[in-house]
Amino acid sequence: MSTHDDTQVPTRNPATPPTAAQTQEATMAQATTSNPISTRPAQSAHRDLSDTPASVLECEDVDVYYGQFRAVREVSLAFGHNEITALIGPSGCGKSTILRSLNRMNDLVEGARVKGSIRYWGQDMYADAVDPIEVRRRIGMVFQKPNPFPKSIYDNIAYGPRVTGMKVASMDDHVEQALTRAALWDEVKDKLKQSAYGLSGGQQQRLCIARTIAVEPDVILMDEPCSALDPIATARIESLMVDLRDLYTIVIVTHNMQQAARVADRTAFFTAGVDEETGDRTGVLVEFDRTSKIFENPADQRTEDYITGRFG
Amino acid sequence: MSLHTPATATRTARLGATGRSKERTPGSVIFLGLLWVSLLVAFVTLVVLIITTVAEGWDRLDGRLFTEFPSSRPAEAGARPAVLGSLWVVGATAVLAIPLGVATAVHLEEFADRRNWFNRFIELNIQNLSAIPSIIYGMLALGVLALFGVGNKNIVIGAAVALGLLILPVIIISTREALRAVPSELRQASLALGSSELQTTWRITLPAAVPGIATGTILALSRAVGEAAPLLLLGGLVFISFDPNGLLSGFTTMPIQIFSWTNAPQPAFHELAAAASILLIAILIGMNAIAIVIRNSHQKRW
Amino acid sequence: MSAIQSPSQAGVVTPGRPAAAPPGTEIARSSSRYGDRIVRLLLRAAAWLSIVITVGIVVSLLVPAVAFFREVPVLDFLTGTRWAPQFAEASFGVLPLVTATAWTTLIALAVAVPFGLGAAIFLAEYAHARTRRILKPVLELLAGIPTVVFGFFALSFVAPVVLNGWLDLGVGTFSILAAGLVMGVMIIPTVASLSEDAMSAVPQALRQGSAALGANRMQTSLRVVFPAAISGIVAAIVLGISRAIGETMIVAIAAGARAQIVSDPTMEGATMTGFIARMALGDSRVGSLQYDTLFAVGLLLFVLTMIVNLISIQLVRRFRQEY
Repeated sequence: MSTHDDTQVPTRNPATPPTAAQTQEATMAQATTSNPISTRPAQSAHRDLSDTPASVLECEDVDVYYGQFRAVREVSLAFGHNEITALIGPSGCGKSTILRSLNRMNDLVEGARVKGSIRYWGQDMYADAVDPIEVRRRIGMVFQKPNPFPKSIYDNIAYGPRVTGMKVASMDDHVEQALTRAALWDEVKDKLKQSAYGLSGGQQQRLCIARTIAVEPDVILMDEPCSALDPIATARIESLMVDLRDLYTIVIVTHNMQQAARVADRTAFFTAGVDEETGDRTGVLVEFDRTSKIFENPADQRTEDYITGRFG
Repeated sequence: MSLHTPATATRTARLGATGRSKERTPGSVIFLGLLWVSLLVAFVTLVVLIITTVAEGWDRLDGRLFTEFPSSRPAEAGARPAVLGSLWVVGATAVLAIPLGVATAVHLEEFADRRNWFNRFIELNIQNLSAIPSIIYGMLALGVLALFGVGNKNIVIGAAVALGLLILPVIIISTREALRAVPSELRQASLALGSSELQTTWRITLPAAVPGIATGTILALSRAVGEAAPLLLLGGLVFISFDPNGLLSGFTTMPIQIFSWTNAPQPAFHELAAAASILLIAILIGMNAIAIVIRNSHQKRW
Repeated sequence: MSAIQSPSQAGVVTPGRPAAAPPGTEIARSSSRYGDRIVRLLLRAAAWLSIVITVGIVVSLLVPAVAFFREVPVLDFLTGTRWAPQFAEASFGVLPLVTATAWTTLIALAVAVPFGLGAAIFLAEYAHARTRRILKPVLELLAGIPTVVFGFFALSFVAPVVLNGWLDLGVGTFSILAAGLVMGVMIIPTVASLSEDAMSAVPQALRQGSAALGANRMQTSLRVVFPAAISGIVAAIVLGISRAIGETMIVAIAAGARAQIVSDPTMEGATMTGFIARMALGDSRVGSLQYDTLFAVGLLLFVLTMIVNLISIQLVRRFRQEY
């Protein structure tokens, strides 16, 4: 079960409390009865996951600071290749902060600093020789609110390949392919030259996903991509994520626990610890495991309190 | 001019929230009347100014104004060199000030570290420059011309330096406002696709800010069109009997020509001044109207 | 610190490390982006230009002014009451110019402050959105009228028709009063626009709180919004002062050319800017004392307006911080 022989992602806590098996036993009965969240259809949650998949991104002992303020503390996490990993937790627990440090979007915030190491295919992403622009090309991002450019649908998609200097045989085909993958092609193929602002919110968000796909990234980060959408649009994005999993590694931050349960292969639960001296709220990683395990049989009491609605 | 427009909804909400009867006390009615008077002072003056100018100059507003050179005989005098001079001067001013102003605004808004004392000093400096009397810029232009060893101060490029530096702060401030209005989500989306900050600025932020920049720039240029004071120092008030035809050409401009005619004792020249004023006011109203139309048609795009 | 518990990662299924990174995943710097660096350097240079401009202004004014003050002691310049730089028996006391500037500025403020603030209160507190959409552009248009046209208006209408005809004040062709009044109207948009911004920035909650106590809109405007926006309003007035001190064409056309201590606004009088404009038209030789006089007065003007501007900027910052 546990893979602590793996030296790449050491566990921070030497005094490991109860073993996994003990915790599992202790909480099993309770979890199955009191957990109100259905982990139903489980297109993904119950998917066969190897214990040691190839990890694309790894965080080791990551602290993120904004100026003097430490927003996130000692996070060690790995994101599996062609898997969907969800980051969940109450507001202010640092899950978005971690997400934004995964493609160096935090660099754009004045005073933001990352300590520890974040590796992409084993390469330290924050090393001096690394070009943050190159990082963002490989690791795309979809934002909370759909944010298409004030351009035509076509130009929204073509923008990325153009600015990154991608060699594309035919831009038209490339645009079509990206839109097809994002399940938007049929809806927009007749109005490619029209403004992206004419699309509905859900369509705009899929356009943003298509735009990200068009630069052929390796990883797609999604920061609460459905929080501004209605349930139908949300369902479409969710099924799109599951479809895209075979091609991309996906990391999603979500407020919606059901969403994590529905789409994510693995889930990391964060919470905010309050410093007694300063009153600062610092995000910490509580538990990281297969989604089914997190929702049915969490190892940590705090996780259980959160998913059963007793906290947060 | 600031373009601040608070939300309509809260305004109406406030109207509904206040009781009617208490608004009708004599004091309140008088107060509201005084507010109306305040507005009327401005508008009535504007209307009277336009009417008196038109009344005095209408008969003289004809083709001669464009085709004739200045003359000591009012009947034969025109503003042809002044019209051409204004075009040259304002054209050169635009070429000088717009790229510099936009570049400065882009640096300060998109790239500069706001916590750096030097950048804050630059901001303070620009705010101060925007309120320095215009005539001082004429003295600056004299200094610049002297620095380059130009003996003749009455050249188009000298006027363009004076007016360009005069409107530079205005362009910088309005461009910064326009850039600030572009949502940061667009910048982030572009950066997340792997474009550099410069590509983001050039292809996303600046195009999105174009309407705001255009509005501010047109208003700034309209100020340059109407400005006379700094050009007086550059020998703008000369009797020019040729067409200004280049950056090194001698010049006079419309406002200076008007000033010159208002100085003349004969009433006939005052008619000419009024006629040229009508023309100048029409041009400026036109520029203002274009700016307002651009602004209104692009409000609330996101 | 103690409250922050460490993650309990017991039983965590940790994904392992890939055997080898697939091709195309190198993220090391591919190019140094020299083009980007050059462009950003150019942008920075443009921003620095504004500093160069200020230095340029100071140098352009100081060099001739220093030459001037070698001939004329600073104290004589600042306290002298006779201004006659072009006479054979020249005298360089700047006070006549300063008093004329002070008068035109005061008269302009007497017009611009009440009417500008009245317009601002109306726009910020009373006007419907539609009314504002019409009124604000008209106000901006007033700000866009060239000052030379305002000057001509003062000369050809305000002085002869309004002051002499209607009010029978017996002013001459040129007068401080006509110039100051028209200048005041010219400054109304400046005062109105900035103070309206300040009042609009006052949070709605304050107005609702006041209305909830039974205050009517006048009371709310005067006792709640106005005091809350006071630093912005003062900044607007101070900026108006700066405008009035520096305004040139109106006074050059309508205030007259005679430099004298002004004791009565119906007199004519040369202001600092008016003197510079008139003097610039003359044919004084570059480097002569007369020519340098321009820059001495210009330097005084620059210093005065800069002090006023900095006060205004400080006040604006304060009210921006408050809300």
